[in-house]
Amino acid sequence: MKTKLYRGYQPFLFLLPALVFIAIFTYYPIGYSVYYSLHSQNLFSPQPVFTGLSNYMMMMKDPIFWTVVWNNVIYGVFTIFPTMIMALLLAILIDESKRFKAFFQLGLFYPLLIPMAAAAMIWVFMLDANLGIINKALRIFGLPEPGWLGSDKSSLWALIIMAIWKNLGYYMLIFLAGLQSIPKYLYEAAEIEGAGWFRKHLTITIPLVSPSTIFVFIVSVIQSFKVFTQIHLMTKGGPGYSSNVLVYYIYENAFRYWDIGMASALTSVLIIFLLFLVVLIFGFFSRRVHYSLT
Amino acid sequence: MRLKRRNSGLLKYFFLFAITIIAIIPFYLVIVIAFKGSKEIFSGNYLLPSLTPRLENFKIVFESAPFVRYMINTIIVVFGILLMQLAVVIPAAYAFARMKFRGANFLFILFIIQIMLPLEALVVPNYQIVRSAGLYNTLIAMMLPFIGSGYGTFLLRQSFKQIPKDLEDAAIIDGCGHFRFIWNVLVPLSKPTIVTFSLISIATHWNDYIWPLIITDSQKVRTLTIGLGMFVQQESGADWGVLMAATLFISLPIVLLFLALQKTFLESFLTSGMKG
Amino acid sequence: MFGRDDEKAEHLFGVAFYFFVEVFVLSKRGVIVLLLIFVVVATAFAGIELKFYYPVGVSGPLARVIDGMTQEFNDSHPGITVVPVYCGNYDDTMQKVQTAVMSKNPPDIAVVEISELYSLLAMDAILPLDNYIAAEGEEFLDQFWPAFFGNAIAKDKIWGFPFQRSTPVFYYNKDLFKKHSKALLDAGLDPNRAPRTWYELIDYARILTERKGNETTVYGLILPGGWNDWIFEAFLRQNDSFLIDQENKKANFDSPEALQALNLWYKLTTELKVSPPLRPWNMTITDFVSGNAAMMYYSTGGMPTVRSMANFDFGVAFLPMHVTYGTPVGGGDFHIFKNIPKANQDAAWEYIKFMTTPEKAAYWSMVSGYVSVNKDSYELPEMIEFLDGFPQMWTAANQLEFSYPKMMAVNYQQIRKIMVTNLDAVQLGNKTPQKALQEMQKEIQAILDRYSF
Repeated sequence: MKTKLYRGYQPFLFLLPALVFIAIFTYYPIGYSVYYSLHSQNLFSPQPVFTGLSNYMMMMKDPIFWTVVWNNVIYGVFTIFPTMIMALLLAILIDESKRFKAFFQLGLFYPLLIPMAAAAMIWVFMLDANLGIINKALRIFGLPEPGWLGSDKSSLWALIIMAIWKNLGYYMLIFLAGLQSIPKYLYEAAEIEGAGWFRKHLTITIPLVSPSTIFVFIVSVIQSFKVFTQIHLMTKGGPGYSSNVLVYYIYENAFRYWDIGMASALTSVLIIFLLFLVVLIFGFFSRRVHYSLT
Repeated sequence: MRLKRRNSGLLKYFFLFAITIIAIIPFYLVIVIAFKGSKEIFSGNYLLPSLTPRLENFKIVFESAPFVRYMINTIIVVFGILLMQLAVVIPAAYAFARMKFRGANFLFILFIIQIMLPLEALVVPNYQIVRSAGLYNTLIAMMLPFIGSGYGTFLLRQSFKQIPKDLEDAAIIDGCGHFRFIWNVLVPLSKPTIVTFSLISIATHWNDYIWPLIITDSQKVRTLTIGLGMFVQQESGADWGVLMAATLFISLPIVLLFLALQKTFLESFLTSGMKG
Repeated sequence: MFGRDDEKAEHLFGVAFYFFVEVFVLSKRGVIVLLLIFVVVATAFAGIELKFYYPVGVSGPLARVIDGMTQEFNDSHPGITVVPVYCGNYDDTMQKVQTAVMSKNPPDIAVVEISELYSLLAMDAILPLDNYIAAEGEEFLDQFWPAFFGNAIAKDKIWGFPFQRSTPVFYYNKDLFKKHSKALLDAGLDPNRAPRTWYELIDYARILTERKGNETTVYGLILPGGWNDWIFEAFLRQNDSFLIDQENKKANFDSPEALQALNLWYKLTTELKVSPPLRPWNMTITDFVSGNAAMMYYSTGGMPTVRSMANFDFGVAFLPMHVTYGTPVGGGDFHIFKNIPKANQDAAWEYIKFMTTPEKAAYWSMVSGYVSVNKDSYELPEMIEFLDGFPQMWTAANQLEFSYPKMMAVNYQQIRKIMVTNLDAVQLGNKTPQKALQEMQKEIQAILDRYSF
């Protein structure tokens, strides 16, 4: 029996509640941001005045904007790739080990469960230039001790390290799940042919785990744009603007300076960029992995 | 040959242990320091558990701010979100998975795009919307933007799709309506996915920060994360013991919940098709 | 945990209402009567509820103290309920106030950092208090330190009322001074007192810094980050100069006096390395009480915390002078907002009066370390006794003689951000003082030119 083609309104009834929420809290805000980005509205002139692209022009000329974007890029690149690689490696190792599996899984995964606010506090303590355990450890080995959150050179890196710690277990589990669906006989065949550990995984695991890879990649890209809580609690974007990222800069413009026009312009830029990424990712990957939408 | 395998085996275990222990150190520190006094902490020797644990830290935490109320608020918000998400997402996933209709692809893409646009990117307009609806500073306001979950729809659609057509045909023959079918067939069979999604939703929204931060200000509706954030600003630099006690209090419920349900969770996770 | 009286009242009310509905429900007229009763009673019961946004700018469980004091007020003023809303630090609180005002939902009362007065005026958010003050009689204002009103007056009106006020003071670790007394005496310095001048500051800091190989185990001095704009303003005052001329809206960062001050900072942090590069405001106290720093510049508001955490004898002195002693004041004032019912504004004034009586101001001072805004507090027996046991608390009050109003500007938050960014850079050794001052001058002057009220 073929699937019935519904001509009526019935399917939409099922979709309605979800659609309403998405319309109000995702799509209307997009329109709102674009609309207000073309207006000037701030603390000392609270009535919106149409000013066309002036917010965007100011933004392009603003060195802070470019710093913030660059920080986002660095943060993204250095959280996404190291985490993905380590997660895959750990998943493979755990899959291959016979004992202590649960211990490894839980020990690596629990950071995800700790509320970011709590994690931020723990890391502020660990990263303290004097008291903190990280610098203590470096001291023992005679290595240089960065100022971490107190230095504009290392504040972003402190956040990156914390992000890796927090997300590693989650991606590891996803890869682990993906590994379960790789047939074991492939490995056995490779071993018989004399393939070493690296060769085995390079030729079998990595290609076959690609759906998970894509998923992890997408999730981690989104995560890298969501960074807020830890910045608000640990550095407030500082010292200077060294750990400021786009979402935090939007927040500052909206709620600290009450520059709604500029905040909307920044939001619009972020939205466009994220949508661009969506197109890129799905365009690129849908050729490689088949996702049926029908 | 065998020797090589055992050595490389040892190396693997060593590596795994090293990394796992490093990952656990932060939590260990929280637990240990939560029971210490500041003099002990300042001395720099805080790595080993205290011989005289200081329960007073916890007393101070509860006296300084109504953390129990924050906990209750958080529970209400998190479970409210989950229930409404499921109520809204299950029908939507059903429509996408089992019904063919015009515009299905387009609408589904709208849901997928929603996944890519985190709330953090849209705080300003969402703030204005909720504020003008007069819902500022309410528990419900903290739930609203998250209910339409593209992620949940996506996951459940996949899971529903995997239910064999025969079951559906049989149900139709039996005269089963849509809702009966969803409730009695699809949902039970999709339990792993639903469980996984629920746990992830709970863990995610337990964590919410920026949204509660801007949409509430009074203690009555404050959630744990904001409560901790504010508490930190007061006590910061002064008493790490008390701070860690608060941190421990906030982290513990979810970690314990997870430990208790670990078998269920890991099973669901690994079999639910989360892999992609 | 839950026991707020108004909640209990609400519950009782709900029960009573239900009961009456059962009795009246069938009769339409009964329902109308019931509704009328309900409305009348509800309005009478409601009383005035005031939302009070406030910050806590120093370490310590001060939110609890505010809650306690407010509860006392509520209990003694039936018909008025003040709901204190702790909003975080000064920056966070200003943001909450701004956002609330711009969303047309202002709080009734708020305490914000004094430099933000002009911003509040530019938003036309607050009410002048002159009428209220006049109604209290001629002698009312005499109770209060005039030094604090410098930041509450603009355009010949009084817009705020001092509440949590401070000055930065100079803390020093007496035990560490004793430890190095020989070295200090050899250098011609007195180990029994704090440095008095900038030159002495350098010398003391040098001697008190302890190093082990490449590592500095004890820093002589901490110039804290976080509010380094406030501390820097103090240095300018000590150099008989200023950073912003409010009358003429002129920035003075490119002056030789500013350069001298910033050069001193640069020397201490980067050249002599007797002050650590950039410690956050809250960690400064930790460093001092743990003995990692011998001297620190910090708000008087940190004193109770220092006292409770330090296991050494510490002294507090005026900030070292250069041409003169000098310091800006600091802290936050009460403001009553516009666009709230007149009854609320009147009630707010009652709250302000309550919190600034000699007794309440004294209590607040003893717990927080802030200066009591009411001079009469210092004659109360409990205050005298307290100060006998804790004489260091006199310092800030005594320093008021050499104090100036803190600089104010519209959109001060942005100015502060520029200052902090540049001062941080200098303290980290990333920028030369000249460059930092030039940039600050340019950017801050632009903001002064752009906004006015």
